[in-house]
Amino acid sequence: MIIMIAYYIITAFLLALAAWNFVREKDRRQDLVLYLLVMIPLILRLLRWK
Amino acid sequence: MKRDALHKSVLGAATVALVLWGGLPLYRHRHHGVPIVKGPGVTDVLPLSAFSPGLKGTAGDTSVFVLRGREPGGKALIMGNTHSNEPEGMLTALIVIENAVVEKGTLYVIPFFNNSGSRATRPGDGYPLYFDVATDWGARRFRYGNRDASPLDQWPDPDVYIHYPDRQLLSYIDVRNTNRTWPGRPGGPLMERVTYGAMELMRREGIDVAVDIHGAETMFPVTNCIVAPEKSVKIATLASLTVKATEGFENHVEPSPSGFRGLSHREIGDHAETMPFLLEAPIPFLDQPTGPKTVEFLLDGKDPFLLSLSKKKKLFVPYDESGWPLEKRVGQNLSVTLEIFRQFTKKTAARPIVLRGVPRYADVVKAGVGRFLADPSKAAAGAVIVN
Repeated sequence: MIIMIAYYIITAFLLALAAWNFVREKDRRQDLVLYLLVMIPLILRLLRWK
Repeated sequence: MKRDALHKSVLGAATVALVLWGGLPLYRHRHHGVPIVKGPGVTDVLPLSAFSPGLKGTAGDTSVFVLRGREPGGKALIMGNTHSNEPEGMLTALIVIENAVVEKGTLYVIPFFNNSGSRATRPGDGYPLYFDVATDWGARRFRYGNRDASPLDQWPDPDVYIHYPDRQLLSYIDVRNTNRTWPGRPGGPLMERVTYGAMELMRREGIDVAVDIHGAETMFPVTNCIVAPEKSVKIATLASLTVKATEGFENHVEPSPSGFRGLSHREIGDHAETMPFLLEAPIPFLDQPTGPKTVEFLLDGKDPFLLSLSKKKKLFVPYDESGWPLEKRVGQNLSVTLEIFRQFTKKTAARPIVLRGVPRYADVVKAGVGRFLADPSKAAAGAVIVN
């Protein structure tokens, strides 16, 4: 249970990083797409959609 | 600034559309209910959580069908879908539930042992989400699942799975494999709670014989066989010899290795009085050097690459143009299971397990699997359990 909570915290941290980079990025479209793709599993995990 | 926001919004919307397009079929598969008709012999249906409270309300909980005999006797447990990509076990269990009448003893049947695994898939291997079995009244649809439980239900995986209680180091993925998590524990990871539930069922109800039905690759040496530990090997050998002599198909005996932990054929015997048997029917669909993983291939087991390998003697089972169809796999599981019960009854006359109404190998090969599946739409009210 403790490990699972730690993994959720790590997931939230990585999602925040990717979202921050997505907001900051202005020019490179490829990077924007990459950030969005990276965020998909992180968002689904945090929302616990099944 | 405005243009940047618009640009990002369009990309975000496209991503959401992509997620919905890819995710909805998986969502529908996960929530697709499979109706099971309570046959003439079913006297009770229990949740596995009755034996492992930690399963209550989780995707690990599953139905246990009880078939109490007219006369007392021995007790047996049949498990299908321990690995949900080996559907011949589940279909064997379903045929027993929908057809068997127990004359002596009690039978417990769990058709979807790894319920979570049956709601997952393996997209990287191009697995189909469903398969249909043709019947006299139309097609009956089943979920095609994965070997391991879904990470949606048990997460995260460890780097290495430390088996309980032997502390043997197993692959990380085996923490979601219900044939590595035996004997389980009440507060362990979800799949350990599933196997613990079955262990408690066996210990509390005094199960004599447990049959765990699987399928294995034709290129894997432990295929087309009964795996049995020391305590079950005599009955397994007699069953193997009898089906070969009377029904004409091979099903050799493999010893259960004592040093490899977590498997049903090892742990059940070591942690309960029960005699375990694990059946492996060859399922070409699971082999790797094959053509596309289509539903047709899953059902008929025909593949040109395996045929070529067979000619080079690279397979562990005989293989020709007829493939290894579903009816052969299910038929041999049924015959071997019935023969194990018969041999147990001969050996332990005070605890007989006697069934009628269950087809044998020749019946299923001749008439097909669907001939022995009931029509849920014609079942009486309350006689259908949706899993």
